[in-house]
Amino acid sequence: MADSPSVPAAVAEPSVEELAPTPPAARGLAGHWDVVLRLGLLGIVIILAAYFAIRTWTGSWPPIFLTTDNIQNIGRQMAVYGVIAVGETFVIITAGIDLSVGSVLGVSGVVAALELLNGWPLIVAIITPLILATAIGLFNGLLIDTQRLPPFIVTLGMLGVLRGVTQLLGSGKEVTFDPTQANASGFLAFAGNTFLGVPNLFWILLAVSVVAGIFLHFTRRGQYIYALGSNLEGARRAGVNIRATTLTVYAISGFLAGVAGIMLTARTSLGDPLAGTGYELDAIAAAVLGGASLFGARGSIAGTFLGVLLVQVLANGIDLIGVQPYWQQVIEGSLLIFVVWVDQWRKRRLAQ
Amino acid sequence: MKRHTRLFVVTIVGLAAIIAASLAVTGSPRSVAAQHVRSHAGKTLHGLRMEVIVKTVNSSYWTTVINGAKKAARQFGVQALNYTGANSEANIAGQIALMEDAIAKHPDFIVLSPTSANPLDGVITKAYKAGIKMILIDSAATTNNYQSFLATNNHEGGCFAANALAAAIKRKTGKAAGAVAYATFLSGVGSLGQRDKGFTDCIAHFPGLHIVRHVDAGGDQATKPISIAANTLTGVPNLVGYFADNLYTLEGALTAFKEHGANMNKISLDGFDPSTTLVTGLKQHKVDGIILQDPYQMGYGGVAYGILAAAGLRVPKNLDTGVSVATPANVNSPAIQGLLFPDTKRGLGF
Repeated sequence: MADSPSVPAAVAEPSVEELAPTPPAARGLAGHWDVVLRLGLLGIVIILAAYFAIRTWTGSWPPIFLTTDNIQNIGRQMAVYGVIAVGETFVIITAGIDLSVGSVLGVSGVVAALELLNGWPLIVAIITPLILATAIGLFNGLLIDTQRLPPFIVTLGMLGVLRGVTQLLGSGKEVTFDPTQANASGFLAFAGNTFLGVPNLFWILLAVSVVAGIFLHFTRRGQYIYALGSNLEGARRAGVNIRATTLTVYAISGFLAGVAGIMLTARTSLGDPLAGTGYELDAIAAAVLGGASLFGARGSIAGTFLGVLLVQVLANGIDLIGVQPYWQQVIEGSLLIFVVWVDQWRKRRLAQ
Repeated sequence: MKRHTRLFVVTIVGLAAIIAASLAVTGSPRSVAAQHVRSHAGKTLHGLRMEVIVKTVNSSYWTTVINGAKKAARQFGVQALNYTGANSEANIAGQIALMEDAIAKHPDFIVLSPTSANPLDGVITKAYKAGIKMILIDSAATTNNYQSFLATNNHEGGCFAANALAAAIKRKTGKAAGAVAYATFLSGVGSLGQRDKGFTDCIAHFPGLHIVRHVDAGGDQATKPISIAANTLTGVPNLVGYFADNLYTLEGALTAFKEHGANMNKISLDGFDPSTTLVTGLKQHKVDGIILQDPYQMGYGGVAYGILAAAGLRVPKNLDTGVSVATPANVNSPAIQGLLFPDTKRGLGF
């Protein structure tokens, strides 16, 4: 235990008030810019929705974009991306990054499918991948904290390792299980169904977001997460347990990637070894759109949620009006640059 | 608060401007609203709406499918809501999302090439039950809830490839004997698996030829196909033949063979699906055979069958769209040219 000899393990961690390095504005909820950005995102989503509603008008209410079917589709389509983006937000706030989440999603989904295929009860097929995913996250966190390895490199390496392992597990093939099997049918039905008109997959995203939001914004550990991103040395000297906090965020990121993997397997009814490829970039983009900064200490669950919503509404609407899908990437990329640019402009103006 | 109000306005206006500008310059997207309320009693063949969803739009094979579909749409006067596909042939969730969106638009029929057999069953069935006619092309789904399936007999195509490879090997080395390898683009895809099986089944008819290696590009369209071919060339020094089961693996093999300086007087290469690069390679004797499917007909026939199905007529459940082999010897013949350049050189019929 060579990392912080000046902080004996027995010292209690500081209370929120004692945590001087973290000004209220950096906690993500109360900062003015964060509120402005979130309102701005919400405004854009509403404007886009209105635009797509008008463009998909068919002569009678509701326009295709606003039909129950389509709104449910958006909910279903954003659920997997949303869950993984929420996990990524935790890591980004600590000024870290987790590039392995797409591969964690993949391996979790394949493990779940393999267990269903081999007749394990559904509960086992759900718990095992979650334990695996969390363990991977803890492993990432340990490497980053104890060995002082850069998060970018560690998680990039794990991206490759896990993707290879996933392929090995499935022998390079998709893992298909019989959908009418006793252990699988309920699982698949759950993914396709709705409760009170809201798709079940979206309920999972909502539940994840609410719990994550409460944890991040209303608990001490959540404040420590911001503290790490804001001023690592300051947080260490103030007595924050850096290791516990680092492990927590990477474990959460891994865990939620596991949840997303299981959700995707349920939605596609197979274990796809290539599932999740590239999702880590979508997750980072959504978090940054929502106000997170790769330099840490900024970001919120609500912001990330809105970021994912914006991207999915755009994707869905563009497809409905028949515009070529390539434009979606152009728009998303431009939005990302614009949001970061405005954030920098704001910082410069405040500094004057 | 004034500073923040301005910031707020800047943010909203800026984001809106980017999106509006991007959407505005995207040409003339087909308007979904063109169709007004139609009476359900007495369907007419006017004003039919359809959507075509292929595996990915990033491929010359699928572009040919879409060109065939567009020609049919033009000739029959069908309104196409979208010609679309996911960003890669491995993106299952992406195609599911496109199907969901298509169902929301409720066209008269959808022409779909399923990225994977099982996962698309749910949305195919949902469309079918909603009264949207489903025409599947190129790759099968597991469900039976569709009106027609137009595809290549992939096993036959693989067998043609084996025969063509054996013939090329015999021509170059004097006998049909030696070490042969084959590459698949992605394990577990139905159509590719059938091609591979057709290939291995028919290679077995040549007792001198032995399959010594079977490589897999893992679904990577970009660089994996090149490296697996290069590594096979290095790893099997006395290789006489290489079969690639789709466009990406064949193009990758061609590149690898060129980079490796493979001696095309000793080694033979063939595989599935043409492209400009591959046809040039064929003429230069760098490729010995290209198995031609008929993607143009899949697109054209898919739309035609969709129209018939939408009009309430029963269409054949399965249609074999046929395979041919293009070789350096026959590449300039009218039949092969018609398959290679269907937009301009297709002869009688379509």
